[in-house]
Amino acid sequence: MKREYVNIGGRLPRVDGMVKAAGEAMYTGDLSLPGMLHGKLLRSPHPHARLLKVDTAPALTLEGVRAVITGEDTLKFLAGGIASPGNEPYLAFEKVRFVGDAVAAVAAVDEETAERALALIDVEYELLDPVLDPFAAMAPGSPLVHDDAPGNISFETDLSFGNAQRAFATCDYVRYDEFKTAPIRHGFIEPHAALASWDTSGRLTFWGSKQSPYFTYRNMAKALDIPMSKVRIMQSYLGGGFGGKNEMFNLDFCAALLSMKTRRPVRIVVSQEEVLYAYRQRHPAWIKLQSGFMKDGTLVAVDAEIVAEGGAYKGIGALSLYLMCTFLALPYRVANLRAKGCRVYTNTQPSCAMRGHGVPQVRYAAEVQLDMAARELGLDPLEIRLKNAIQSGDTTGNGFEITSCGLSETLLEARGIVERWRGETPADSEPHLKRGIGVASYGYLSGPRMAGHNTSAALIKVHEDGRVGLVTGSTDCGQGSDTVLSQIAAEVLGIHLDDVQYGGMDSEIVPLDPGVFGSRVTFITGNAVKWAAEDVRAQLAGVAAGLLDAEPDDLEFRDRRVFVRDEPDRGLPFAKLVKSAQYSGTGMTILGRGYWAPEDIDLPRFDTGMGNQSGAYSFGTQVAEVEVDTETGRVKVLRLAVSHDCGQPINEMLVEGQLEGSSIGGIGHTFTETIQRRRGQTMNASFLEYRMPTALDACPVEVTHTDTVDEMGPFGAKESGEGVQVAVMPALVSAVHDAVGVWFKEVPITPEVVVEALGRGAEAAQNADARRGADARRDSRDDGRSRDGESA
Amino acid sequence: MRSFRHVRATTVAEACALLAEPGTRARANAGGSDLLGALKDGIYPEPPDLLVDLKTIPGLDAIEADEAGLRVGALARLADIARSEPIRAHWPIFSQAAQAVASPQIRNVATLGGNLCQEVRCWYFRYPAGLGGSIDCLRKGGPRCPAVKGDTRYHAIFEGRGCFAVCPSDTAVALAALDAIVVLEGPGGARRELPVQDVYTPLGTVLEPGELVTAVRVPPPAEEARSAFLKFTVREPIDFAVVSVAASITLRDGVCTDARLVLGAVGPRPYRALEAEARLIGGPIDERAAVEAAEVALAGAKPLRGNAYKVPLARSIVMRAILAALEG
Repeated sequence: MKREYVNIGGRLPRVDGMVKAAGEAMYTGDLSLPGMLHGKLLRSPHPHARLLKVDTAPALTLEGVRAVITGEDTLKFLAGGIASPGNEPYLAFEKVRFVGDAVAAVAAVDEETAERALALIDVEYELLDPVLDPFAAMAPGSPLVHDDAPGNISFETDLSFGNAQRAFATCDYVRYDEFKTAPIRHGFIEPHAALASWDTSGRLTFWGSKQSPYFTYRNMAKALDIPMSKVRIMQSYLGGGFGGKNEMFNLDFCAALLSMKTRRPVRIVVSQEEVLYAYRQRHPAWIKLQSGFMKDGTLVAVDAEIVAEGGAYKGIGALSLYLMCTFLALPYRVANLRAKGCRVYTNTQPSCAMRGHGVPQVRYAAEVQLDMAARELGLDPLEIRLKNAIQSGDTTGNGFEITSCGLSETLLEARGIVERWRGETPADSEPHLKRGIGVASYGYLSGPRMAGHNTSAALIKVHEDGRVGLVTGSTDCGQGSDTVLSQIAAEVLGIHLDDVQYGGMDSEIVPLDPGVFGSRVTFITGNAVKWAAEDVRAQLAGVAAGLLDAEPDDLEFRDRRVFVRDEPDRGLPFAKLVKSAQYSGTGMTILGRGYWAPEDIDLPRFDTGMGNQSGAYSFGTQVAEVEVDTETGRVKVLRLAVSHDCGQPINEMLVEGQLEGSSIGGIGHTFTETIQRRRGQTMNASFLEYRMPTALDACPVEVTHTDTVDEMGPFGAKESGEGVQVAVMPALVSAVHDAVGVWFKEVPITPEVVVEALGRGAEAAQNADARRGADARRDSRDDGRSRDGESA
Repeated sequence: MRSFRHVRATTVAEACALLAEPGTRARANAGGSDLLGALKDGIYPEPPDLLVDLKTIPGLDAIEADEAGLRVGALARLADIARSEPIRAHWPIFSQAAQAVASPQIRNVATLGGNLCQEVRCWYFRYPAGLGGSIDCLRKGGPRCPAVKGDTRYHAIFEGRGCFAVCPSDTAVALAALDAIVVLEGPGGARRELPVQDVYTPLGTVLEPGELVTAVRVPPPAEEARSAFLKFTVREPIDFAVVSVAASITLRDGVCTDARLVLGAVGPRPYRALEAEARLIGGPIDERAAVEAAEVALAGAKPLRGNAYKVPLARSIVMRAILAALEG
């Protein structure tokens, strides 16, 4: 059961809300330094080519140009790599591997001069045959993106427990389907930006736009071969990330190296077009999926073959593939699983993490197939999920230990929502408008265990007026973590949220932290903050105990006061206590320190998918209602609902914001978003033609919380906001099937895809009949099965 | 971006003279919502070296309505057209089409002349030079159209010849259904008037060097005319039309005496479905008539490899526009 708190669980406004709304928040691209130069990157126009010559001399003669660097000016550090060394140069040498790969960088007195200088760099390419499709890439004799990766295989995961093949023979019903997802974008509004300033003491000060500043800290030191302690990473506000700002990128490196060369600060802000064609995307995936069931809906066995297009470089793709495979084991019980994943290199922009990180692709396939099976078996989609839902206390076959779990509760909640919506939904108003409802569930992790450093840390400084300053290395990329972490500190110290000032990132003082990814901040950094606040409280309680003649353990911190429990009058204001501590004879500096990571979590086995990945898992069920225009193929999402288990919400308003944003993002992935390429070129590198939903495409999202707490999470909290992205696509696809009787096994489901799938081209003449009142809804549902199959 | 000369014209004559200056590659600029994007993307093989600002020509943004009809200056902003009382009252589809363009921010700067003369949105034509170099195409003087063997989902299903880009203007579609006349003025006081759909050719417009759209004239509406403008887009706002339709129907005693059916984003110019109009005239307008007219309207469509879906899509929008006009 949930408990009552002062600063936890309510709807407190975010601490960075006012400055952002007022336009006062400074992002890296807003910063400038005296004498600052402007940097630009020269990018490859070819998807695959050998670099024969990069002559920078003509560019250097241009007035205002201060430095030009190429791959030959670097130490040829190779970035990326989890489970094996990375292979991405910050500036290409020997080869370019996608349209947009960086070849050189210029620092000049202004952006225009830098731009002009790029045109003067003389690059000679020897064109190589590109590989633009992962299946062609794997074919024998295909050109190699990396010489040391035969078959263009980037990474493989082979997860197996039970015996899926043998188990299929015992099943009452087995089905096989093939699914495909599109390459899509993160869509953050702040483009990548870097400002670097090198000084003669050998210190590099760097302002970036990073979800994980300490990743950049480490790579910067390695790539420049300087001590880590000489790298100072600073950061204030971050304009969105969604997984696309985890890694250190070429502009970060080039700003630093250009500053070293010129002894001037150098700023590089890339354009939104560059973000869209030359940086990261979500892995498109081809998923062959076979599942076996008993008549009662029990899921017995799953066998999956996953091909994920990794693009030109390794990056953190091993983790992506690992997550794709392991999340076939969640959120339903399954005793027999085989998941073979293969990440493949192609000459396109590299794929990386993106909200849900690999899991949305496979769960789209698995949830839709579960619905197909349910219908074949005559079972309700919610019943088959309840039948198989994982429960607290379970351990999955690959070792996920499920502690708190409210999945069944969310399914029961969803059942009520579906019944209510069915009752509220009017009969189809026009014969060509078909309504449908779909559901899908998800499980997600609260911070993946990574190889290497995994611990979050927090520092709290107490000011003499009784307010506190809090810093961590976990950045707020819009999800609200500055607020959530401040709330946790305030709750422990019995002060108000207003009394906590959340500080920016500065590696000079902010302790080492992995940063923001995998829904780890509330759960892991939250615990570190809680511990740091408890450290402060213990130090102050020692002083208060002397002043109040009480035992420290008997003291309560509440409403900016410290008092003896059950004797509220025997106490003193928090601020006065702080002053007493600081102003006493010897004086005290009150600094709280906390660090935390879940214990006994296995190091991930990226190759086999075995081991417990996280200290806690979140769950939820998404409900979607759509209206399909069968003539135009356009699908309107009427409303969404999420019933979710994030343990104790620290801030209900922020949780709702996360769930709403993630849900609406899923609308884009399902219906409109895809990267269009032509010979490796991106045809829609703008937000006009890369069609993310806008506010007018959004729909109401109902959110209901379950009554769960997680014993390990801070105040019982765990993941929220990323996991729900996993269930949006399948819920929408299922709703479309409910409306028109067609299963779409490939996303996005654009109007042309719907029109073609519904065969309106041949049936247009029947429109007249349809319009004269024949309600085709029932018919199209009944014959839906005959139309099952590939969705164009 | 390349540098260029920028001149603020104060009269139409001055603007035309500047645009016709020998040896210069001049372009007219008003709201800038199309041209500046095209320049930033570097889509022109030979970028302009002179921009002639038309916004400084006084009086060219007037909206005047009287018994003789409507006259709208080329500098009238789309936002002003959308909210103009006389236009809303007597030529509502013109107002609706202006309102259907892009976003409020863009409608606040974009002008009627610019909306009519904007560059096509074909993603081969508009491919930004900075993203690995421009894509050569027929419209830019190249030997062939890369769309034909490429991704044509947003390309023409009517009247494509060599180039298959579609006219992206929403207002042109409504204006064609209103029998609007475009006033063109050129150097030396030259002046001509053309029906709006005749302004466009498969590779651009009929505008001569130095020639400008200065106004649009719309005749007074027939007393019993009813009309509708429908625009199908992928997202709710912002997007260019995949298909749009303007329908204007005159009914006397339940019988259609005149009809205009104009399809947008299906060809290089607003496509007037003359046979479908003829099918409507002389009979009552009901669902059957609408379906049949829509069928006739698309009968001559020649989809490319990748845009066959636009045919049934356009057919249903035509049908809906006819029925919406009845209710309008």
